[in-house]
Amino acid sequence: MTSRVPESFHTITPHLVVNGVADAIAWYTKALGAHELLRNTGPDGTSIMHSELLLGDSRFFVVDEFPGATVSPTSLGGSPITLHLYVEDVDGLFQRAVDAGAQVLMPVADQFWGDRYGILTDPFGHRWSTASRIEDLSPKALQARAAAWVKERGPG
Amino acid sequence: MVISSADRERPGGERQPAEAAQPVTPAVFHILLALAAGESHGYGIMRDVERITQGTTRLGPGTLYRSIQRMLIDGLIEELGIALDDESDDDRRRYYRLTAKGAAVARAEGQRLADLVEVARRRKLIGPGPRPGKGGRR
Repeated sequence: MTSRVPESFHTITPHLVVNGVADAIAWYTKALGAHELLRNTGPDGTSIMHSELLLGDSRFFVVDEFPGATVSPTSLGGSPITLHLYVEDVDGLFQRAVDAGAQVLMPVADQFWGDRYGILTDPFGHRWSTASRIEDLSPKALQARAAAWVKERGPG
Repeated sequence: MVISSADRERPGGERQPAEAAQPVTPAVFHILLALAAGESHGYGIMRDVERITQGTTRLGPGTLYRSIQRMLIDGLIEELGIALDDESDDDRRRYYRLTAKGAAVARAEGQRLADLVEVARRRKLIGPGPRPGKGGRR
């Protein structure tokens, strides 16, 4: 009996559209430590209709931009989505991604909510935030920290 | 498409920062158990898992493929690289065996589950022995 929800997948699986999947797969492998699990080539023999990557214990799909069907952040001029990665060594991963050509949107720093955290944009226009947890805060403590942060920062 | 073990090598053996501590999924544990009895190919693993679970667990080819890929990447199993026939692209015909790490992970997971079962017994959730008519096999 085929299980309706394959156990290899978490409930949410990001599906990234990029301009040039082969390069993107190479970049995600080098910069983020992803592993390519499979790819299906399109009718033209070069475009990639579907690919599946494993990153840590999660999977994501990467596909090419196809006119009228899929559109990448570079064509849109940005992405409204940020993919978040919790990792053991946020500084190490961030540096590795930057060395591979990622753009820094927010450098890694200790944040009030208990994470050491930073944000970057990959060469294909997708945004990634990455963090390592450094403090395990209760919701109450978190709210107090958030209030203090807002107060310190001032209005606007 | 199938990736060979060589393509999967990590560049310079460097650490993979995005790799979290490994949870053992049910399919992965079943495959570890199957390979604990000796090396096998994908199809043999599927059949053994069915046998040791009295038919309650059947790994489909997609789940088998994904679990095996993940276990190769995580270093729990290794491919023996024996192609029996021209269908070497068929994962069910590739041979695998446990690595030392895979055996250690299997032992740790087995012990963890045994400890939990012991708690379940002490709290009278289950009886003292195996289910009658089931689990006769080791």
